[in-house]
Amino acid sequence: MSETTIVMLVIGAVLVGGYIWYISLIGRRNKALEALSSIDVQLRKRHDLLPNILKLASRFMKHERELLDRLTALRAKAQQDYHPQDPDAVQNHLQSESELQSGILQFFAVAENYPELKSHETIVRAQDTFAEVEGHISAARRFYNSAVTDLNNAVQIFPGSMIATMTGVKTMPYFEIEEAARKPVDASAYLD
Amino acid sequence: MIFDESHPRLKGFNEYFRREIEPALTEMEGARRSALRQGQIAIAVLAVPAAYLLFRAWQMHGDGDWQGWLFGGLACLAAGVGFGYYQISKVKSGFDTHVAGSICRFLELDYTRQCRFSPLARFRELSLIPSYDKSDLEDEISGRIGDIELHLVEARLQDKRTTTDSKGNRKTSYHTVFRGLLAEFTFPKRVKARTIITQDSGKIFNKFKSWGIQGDRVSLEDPEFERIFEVFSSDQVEARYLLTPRFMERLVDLSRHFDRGLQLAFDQDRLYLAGPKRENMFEAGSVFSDLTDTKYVAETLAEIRIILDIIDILNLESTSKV
Repeated sequence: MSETTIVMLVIGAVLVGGYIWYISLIGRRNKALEALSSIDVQLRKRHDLLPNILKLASRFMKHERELLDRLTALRAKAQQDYHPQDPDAVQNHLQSESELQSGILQFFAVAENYPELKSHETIVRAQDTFAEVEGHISAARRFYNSAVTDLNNAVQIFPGSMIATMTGVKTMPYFEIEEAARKPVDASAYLD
Repeated sequence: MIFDESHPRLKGFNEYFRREIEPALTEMEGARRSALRQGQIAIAVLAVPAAYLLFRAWQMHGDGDWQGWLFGGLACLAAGVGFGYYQISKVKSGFDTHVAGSICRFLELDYTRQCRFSPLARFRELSLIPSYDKSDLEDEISGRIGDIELHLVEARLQDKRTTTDSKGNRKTSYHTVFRGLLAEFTFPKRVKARTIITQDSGKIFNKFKSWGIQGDRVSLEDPEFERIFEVFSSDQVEARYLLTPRFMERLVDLSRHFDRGLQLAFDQDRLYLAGPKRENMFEAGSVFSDLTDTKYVAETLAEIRIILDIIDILNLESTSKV
């Protein structure tokens, strides 16, 4: 076998290997994008839940104008369009959703101090639906984070890192829960 | 207190036992002794001609029709033992049915020894049981515990195997491929996708298994759960909605109540569970021991309590949905 043939075979093997790696990389990125879109489907349910609650709450929670306005602003921010293939835009989008989640939790905590509102049928139903929706969001978040781990490992580990740089495939941010959402809510801070 | 009433649904069982179960057991113990006596008499009576026929066969060995004498002697022995066994097994079967049935009645569940409804096709469709050629179903329990509807049977599934020896003789035998409980519960979370939780069989075998199961593999965060189970679902998000970290812990906990091979499936509003158990369940006691001994009732009670454990461990009655 001549030297040229060997070189050609090696180049061929590298090209085939690189192409297989590229396919796997794109597959992982698409999986992460699919997971991101499934998060958005669930988040839309959260967004749809808010207007009715806020409308009702404004009748009872006249002294919580600031909190209600903040929630409206957070919802508007979270609903803004973003580019799913831009990691920074995804990071900002997920960050706004985390803030919105903390805001909603704080709202329900403060609502505890308004017995009429708390026992209102719409709020009781909204709280149940919220728990259900949050369960789905949490599941979608776990799916997304698992897909992002697969993608990021493939993008950051050699030779995947080289192929990713050449093809423009980037790592994606994790969807992490806001610290405030992990902690029990201190309603007193909103009642002073 | 003879029986453990620590579970809220078993409160008052001791009183129930004294009132409903014990009197019948005393009666059955009388019947058992009488059946045992009848069996002994039958064996003793038939032992005389059997001994004579066997003696004649021994005397005539190698000369004339000695095989006929031998066969007659053995037939006499078999008839005696068979009659005795039949008498006793009638009592034993009545005892098992009475004990399991009474405990189920206490829990407001229905019990029948003969299975009226076979869930095998459904479990097979969900890939929760292996393929089989012969099935035995018994001990059907159904009804409601709180808001949970349940249906449970004890199953033994066998696979036919034919082997050919060096002389070309074909031999067919049956091997047990599954023995244990097949249970179906209503589940508080309504789901659209199908999620199947199978036993982990190692990377290579999991790959083979995935070809026969609808849906994609779901990779989960709990290492202990991942060590025991392998999950497939037609919806990645819904699978994680069902299998919350807490629920995964509960499944690991539940797997300790069965022999290796616990498998589950979520389909629509139902949870299906195939739990292997080596021993024959809901059948306590021996024909040669006192049926009034409370340890046999305690054994059956512990076996039926597994239903309550499944509901408790998996938190099926909860409305918290986690």
